[in-house]
Amino acid sequence: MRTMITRILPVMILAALLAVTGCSGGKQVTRVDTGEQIDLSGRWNDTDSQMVSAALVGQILATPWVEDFLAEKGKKPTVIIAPVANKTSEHIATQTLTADLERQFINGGRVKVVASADERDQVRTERADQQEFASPETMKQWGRERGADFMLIGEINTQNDSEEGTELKYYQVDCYLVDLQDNTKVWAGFEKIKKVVGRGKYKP
Amino acid sequence: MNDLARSRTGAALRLAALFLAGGALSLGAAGCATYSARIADLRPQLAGGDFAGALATVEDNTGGKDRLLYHLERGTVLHYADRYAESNEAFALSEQLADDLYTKSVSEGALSLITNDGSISYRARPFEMAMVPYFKALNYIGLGEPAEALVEARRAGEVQARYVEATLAAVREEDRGDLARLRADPFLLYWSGLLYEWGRETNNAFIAYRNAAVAYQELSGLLEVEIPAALAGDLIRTGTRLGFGSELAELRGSCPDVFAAAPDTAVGDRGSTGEVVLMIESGYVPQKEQVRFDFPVFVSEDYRDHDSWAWEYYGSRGNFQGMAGGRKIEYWISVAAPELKDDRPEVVGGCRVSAGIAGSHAAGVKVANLAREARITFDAEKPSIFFKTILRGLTKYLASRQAKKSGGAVAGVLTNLFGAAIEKADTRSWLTLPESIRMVRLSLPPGTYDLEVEILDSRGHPFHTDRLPGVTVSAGGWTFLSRRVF
Repeated sequence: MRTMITRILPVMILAALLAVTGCSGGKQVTRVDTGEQIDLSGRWNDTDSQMVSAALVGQILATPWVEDFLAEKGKKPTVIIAPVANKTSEHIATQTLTADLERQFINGGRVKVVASADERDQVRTERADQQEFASPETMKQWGRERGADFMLIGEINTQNDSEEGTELKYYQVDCYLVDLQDNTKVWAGFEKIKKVVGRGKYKP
Repeated sequence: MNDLARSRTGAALRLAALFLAGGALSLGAAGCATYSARIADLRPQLAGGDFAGALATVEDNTGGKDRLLYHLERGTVLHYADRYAESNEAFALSEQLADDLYTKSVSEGALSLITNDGSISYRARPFEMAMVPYFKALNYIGLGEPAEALVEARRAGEVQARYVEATLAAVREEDRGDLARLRADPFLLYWSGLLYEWGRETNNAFIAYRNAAVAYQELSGLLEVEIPAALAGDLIRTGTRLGFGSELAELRGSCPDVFAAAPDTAVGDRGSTGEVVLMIESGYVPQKEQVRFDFPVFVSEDYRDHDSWAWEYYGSRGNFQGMAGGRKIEYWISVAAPELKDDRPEVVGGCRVSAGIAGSHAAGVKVANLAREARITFDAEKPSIFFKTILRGLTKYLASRQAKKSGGAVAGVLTNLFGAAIEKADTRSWLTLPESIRMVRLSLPPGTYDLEVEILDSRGHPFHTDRLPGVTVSAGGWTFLSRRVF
């Protein structure tokens, strides 16, 4: 009898403890490499952003518009990246995609990139401040900003399909490079990402 | 004690321990009272504007297996407290959790067979999850983030169908009934169309209006909602702008009720007026309450004569002492099932809004009826719930009999009593949802207005007046507002 109670008691104590603590597991934090591909929910994530921006910039720079511009104007083209419009049913931080695109362009070295509208406002505030507080030899002048030759416009669209726990997520990022002088589209490209998110019907 | 006796005692104790463990888990997860009883303070607190109290009630009484409800209730309370960013965080967490809960836990299911359905993590009903994008969109509008509100417009069209499919998968085909017809929610489609038009996505707006028209034509009777007269004007306006003359003509034929009051000629753009869209959310969606049956099974009863036994049971009217006089009780049956309490008439019968200038009066149109959706969903699920309740009762009975066989009468009685004590109906639902939503549309010249809202009773008499001061209307613009009436 005593042996039996000895066996059962821990089970009862464990049950009581579980009831009190609500089965809560401790939180664990692990640092991982930022380049590591991690998909948790299947939603748009940093890996998608990096893959799409690298592919799009590769496409843009592989076409002859840069050389055409160089031959005609004798200088590198200047590009401004417009915010990528999110037309999906997910809240996507498109600023990271815009930043990835900018970085790819800047690091490629074949085009110049100018600051976005929001960034320009910040810069102008600083320049205005300099007019009052900076020394004359270091103060930057008004009216010397570089105007962009081309604007990169883009949007993300998505299509979802699902059946019995399996979900298909299809993202398409469309981008156009538009000549700011005459609205000519000098390049159009897109990049697609397709994901299948499988969910088991049951777990233990 | 000989080996056989020791073995029987051991088995009985193991069984008792299993019940105790299951019971402790069940009690630990949900407490003794049903969910609706436990959280009874929430509705009066919200209605009284005691948002801190309401949040504390949610904090103290949800969580664990009710985690989804914790996020949903918090999201609603924070929304009405005008804490839009926090509300959206709570709703976003609810959406993530609802996604994760698609995968059902076998261990939770098994535990619910020896305890109660409160041992299973709560999964939201389709009409509940479908309302999340509605509240989130209002929050984003309040935060001045139209692009994010448009994301919710896109979600609004998707969520309902997804969760209806998931719910249908858990009920038998013959029980699905009207729930299978609710894959599209006319109100949410219409709502998303209005948001698209506000965001200048005219093509998407037309498609959403068209889908809303088809859904209203098909479901307005089932859902007991009115078809908004403005929908026809919205379709004609956007369709004309896009040059969709043939689509409009086709829609006139397939949705005659939607176009019943619409002019034959095209309606142009709104010109210099601005559009006010006011949503009046009223009441509370019906909640579930527990229906409990407790009755004894006698040792010497002759159950072959069902009529005689039933009349005797009915005649005792719960006075089991009188019924049991001189007889020995074999087992005490306790079963508890949820019932949707939707028999109370709706308090709000309508509403009127005035902007204080000539021609600026409009009546509210009942565009969404969540009470009806709750009934349709409950009716589809009811047979499965009752089947499981009976199965659980049988499991508990068999466990008690086994305990009695192995450990004697005391073990049997204890197991029986413990099983009865933890029997509890699953009355969980998103309690702060409104019962119905009325939409008021006003086309006004640019300016700032104080809107007067009259809430009418079922006989059309005003019983409450609210004022919305400083509503700004811009030429060609859209102003979205919402008010909750309790």
